[in-house]
Amino acid sequence: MLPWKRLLAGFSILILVFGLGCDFDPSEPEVGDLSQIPYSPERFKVQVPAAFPELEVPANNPMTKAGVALGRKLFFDPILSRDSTQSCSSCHHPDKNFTDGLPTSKGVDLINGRRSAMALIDIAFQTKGLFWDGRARLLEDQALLPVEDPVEMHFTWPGVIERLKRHPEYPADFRKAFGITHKDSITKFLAAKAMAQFERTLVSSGATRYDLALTPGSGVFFSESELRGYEMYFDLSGGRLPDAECFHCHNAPLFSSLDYFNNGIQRVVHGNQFEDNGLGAITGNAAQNGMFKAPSLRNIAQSAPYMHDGRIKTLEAVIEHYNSGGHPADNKNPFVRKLGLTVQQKADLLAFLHTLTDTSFAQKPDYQSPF
Amino acid sequence: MKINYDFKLSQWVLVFILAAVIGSCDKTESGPEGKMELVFTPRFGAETFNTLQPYAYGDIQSIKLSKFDFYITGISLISASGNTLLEDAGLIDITGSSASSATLSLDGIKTGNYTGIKFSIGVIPELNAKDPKDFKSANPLSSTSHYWEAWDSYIFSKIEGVLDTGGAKTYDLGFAIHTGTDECLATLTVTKNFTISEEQTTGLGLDLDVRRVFQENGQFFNLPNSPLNHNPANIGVLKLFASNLAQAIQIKN
Repeated sequence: MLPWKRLLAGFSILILVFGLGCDFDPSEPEVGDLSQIPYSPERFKVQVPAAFPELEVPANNPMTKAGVALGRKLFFDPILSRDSTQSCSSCHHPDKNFTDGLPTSKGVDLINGRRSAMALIDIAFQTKGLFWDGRARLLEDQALLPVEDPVEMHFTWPGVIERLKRHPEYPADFRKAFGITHKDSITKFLAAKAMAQFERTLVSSGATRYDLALTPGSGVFFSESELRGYEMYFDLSGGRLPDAECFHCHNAPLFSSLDYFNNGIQRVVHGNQFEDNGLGAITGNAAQNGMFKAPSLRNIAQSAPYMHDGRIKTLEAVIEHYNSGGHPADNKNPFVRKLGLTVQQKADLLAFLHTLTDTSFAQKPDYQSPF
Repeated sequence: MKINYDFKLSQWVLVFILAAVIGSCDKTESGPEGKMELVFTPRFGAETFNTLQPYAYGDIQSIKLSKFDFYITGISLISASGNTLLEDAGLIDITGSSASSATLSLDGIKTGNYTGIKFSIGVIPELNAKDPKDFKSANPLSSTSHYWEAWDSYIFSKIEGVLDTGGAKTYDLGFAIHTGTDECLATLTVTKNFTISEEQTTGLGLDLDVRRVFQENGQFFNLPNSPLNHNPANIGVLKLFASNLAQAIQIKN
């Protein structure tokens, strides 16, 4: 065969080979199709202090790096609110122990809610219900509620989902987090799952003065005042000091027993009714009226004001409330009683509470806004 | 669509081999199983028990209970061929809801005829040596609300409420009795024939006389004398209530 014919034949074969191998799909990828984006979830492991219980993760929402990253974005993004001014972080600031420093929080319409924004430190371990009244079982359930609450974000989930679908980045983020193949698969449940994944990372270091003082060899010791406070808190003095009864509701290691109590801060309105019935309003069990979640006291010095409606401004005033015995009620916890603490003993208790401060928690770069 | 080959071929081979091995294992033949429910129905003497309902406490005083719960562990089913120890633990809370009884469900029980049930009121020593973080949240022993650091023990039972000390219905005294430590463990054996059938639930009704729990030498326990009992220094009081609680539980006819 002549050389130029060989060249032409070879070239033709090459064209044939490549032509058959090519995907001659002349159409554009479908709008919203995410399948071209790689989905290779990498497990996210949370560092949990040895003294803490196991961090339980629902089987249908395993933690992945992409899921946590998406959840963090959504947590700090005001896209969830009607007028795009409020995000979860508006009421749960990293630098305020993931609360907001207000007695009650204002929503997008500047209406005050009736309850204080709870601090989210170690929120993953609150396995007996979320919110002050326990109305959400899991973080995935809790994350759904503020969007449509008229005194919070005052928006609709369909509205949020539309915004997420139109966003230049979120569809891809959802793909990487959950493996969806089309943006139409973005749902409120996936958004809530992502936020729950992020919130499960908010675990304290377990390296407070309290933790280290109880760790042999740490070189950290309680001061005399802190030690007295510790002994009163846990009733460890053998009668030498008053029992401050704190641990009944705020037990170690989380400094929350996860349960609900009436701690005597509300007067009875009538019978067994209170201004805010708390847990009882959710369960329908009047015997649980006026009971609220005992939150964690880790970082409590950074979480003012205090109680379910932020009515107590300082830790000193909290201690004085418990020292006074609070308002009577049939279901008031019996350990909320007149304690008879001296000025020094109250100062000692305060000193001990300050040992629960984890200064590293709020500083963690992974907890800050990604924007 | 492009397939993402995350696994190497060698890894897939290993997965298949493992699946084959596991799948070929003889499963332990546990036999047919059923379920059981222990249903605790409280009363206060001859009266129906309700949380925060007032009851006469002696001639003048009256009492309202806001909290009454207790662990049961070391549950054994008794049969002619011996005892079957269950791994279940329960936290019976008769004040936790407005329901008239508190139920503990026991799963995975071998079918057959049984003559009774034995259980401890409190936390048996092998479990009491652990602490809440050793258990998953669904297990009642995970409750830090029921753990006492100072005792290095679970709180076996919590009995809390208010007492009207002077008869004026002012309920002026809050009280609490929290039992714990191995000394307060009480064991109860209930004799009753019952049958566990495959995939059926057998109920065993237990009567709990709350009034009985407060008795001391034929009288009501002097709560004003000792309203807060949650310290080993009060071990005498705690053992009294622990023993009373065991005696207050009877098979329901």
